[in-house]
Amino acid sequence: MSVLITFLWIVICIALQVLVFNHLPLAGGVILLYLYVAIKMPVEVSRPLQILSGFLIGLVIDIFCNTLGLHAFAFTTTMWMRLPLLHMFVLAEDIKTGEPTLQRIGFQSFWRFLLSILIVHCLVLYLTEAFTLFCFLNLLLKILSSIVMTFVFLIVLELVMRRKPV
Amino acid sequence: MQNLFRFFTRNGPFFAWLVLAVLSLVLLLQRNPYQRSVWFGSANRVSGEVYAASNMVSSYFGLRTINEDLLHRLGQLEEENLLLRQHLRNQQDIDSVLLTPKPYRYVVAHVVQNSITQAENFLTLDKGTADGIGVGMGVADHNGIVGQVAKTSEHFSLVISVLNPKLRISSCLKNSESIGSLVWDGNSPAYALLSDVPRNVPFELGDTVITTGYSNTFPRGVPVGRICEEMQAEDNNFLCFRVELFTHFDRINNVHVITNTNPCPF
Repeated sequence: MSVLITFLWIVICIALQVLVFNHLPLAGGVILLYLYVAIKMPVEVSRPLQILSGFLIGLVIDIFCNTLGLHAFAFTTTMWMRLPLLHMFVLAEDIKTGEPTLQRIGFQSFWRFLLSILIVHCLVLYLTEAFTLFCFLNLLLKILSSIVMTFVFLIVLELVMRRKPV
Repeated sequence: MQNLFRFFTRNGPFFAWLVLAVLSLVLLLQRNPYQRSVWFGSANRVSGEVYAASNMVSSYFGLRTINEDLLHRLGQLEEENLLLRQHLRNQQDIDSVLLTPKPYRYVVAHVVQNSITQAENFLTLDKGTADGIGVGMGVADHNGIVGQVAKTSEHFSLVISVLNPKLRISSCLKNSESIGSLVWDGNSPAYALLSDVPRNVPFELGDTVITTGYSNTFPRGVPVGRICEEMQAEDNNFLCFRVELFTHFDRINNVHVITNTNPCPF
């Protein structure tokens, strides 16, 4: 049952991303809602499976954006990096199962974890996209605007979700 | 053998990442709308249907501006029509002229997906081969040019937007015959560059740019934009202009695909 609910969450995230957020650019950057999956995926899921799910989610977004392989590459890399990044801020013994939520790991660790995921993902995503066309200042602006908007949005989302008993 | 096996299981995450990253990079490097393989056709059909459904809601936004644009354009065409009829009446039998077969046919289509933020932008239309749309046809809306059909399926087609550096459109200034080439520089979705215009062409800022009709894609005279700035060209033999596009790519809704009924075979 919980697998089904997780799957539904992922579908909703992707749908909102391609139907709403991709059409609300600010300074070239957009809110990357699907990164919420990279934050919230339970830590006990085996790492190859995490990486595979990253690839599949990225691929679905690519098919909608006509950018075959771009999001898939970036999100695969992000999902590969997520546990090492998480363990930079939270000891592995402190979080053996479940989702890294704001309540469990504390605000300090949470925002650092979120920001590091964002930096890795946005750098990989936009640098990979840009190797066909370069305009450095625009690129930097795009990366910064995506990071700032997504950071604020996901923190607010996490604060809202916290009130719900899971 | 056992050591090798242990090596792979211990580094499982890394190899999972490596395989999938290589796979996605291969996809990325091969992505070319002309050569997308057949099995992605069906996937694009699914995304096409989803976009068509979402478009049913979002197409109601901004109807007022679109309506104003259309009325404005209708007025222009009406004036032009009256003027042409008047001229024709002086020349010859007007009915015989109006009854001659038209060289271009306009198929109305709805944009179900559109992007303006990517480095290379594409649009998806809800009309395909079943409606007579073929690869290479021009696409325009009531304001100006939009792009060129790159790939078709039965009920959807993929259009390379003008906001894609891979698309070059033969264009000229309305008042002269000299041709140039319109291409997007990847910056603002409101502007493109008109390059390779000969130096001797007289121009003023604000001049209108139109298509030349030297290809099968667009007939002569489809509006493109107006000159807003002279740019430094790569070499000094040609002029280069920044062109403010007439088409508002952020709110394209309905377009027409221009079907050439009598294409040049070369």
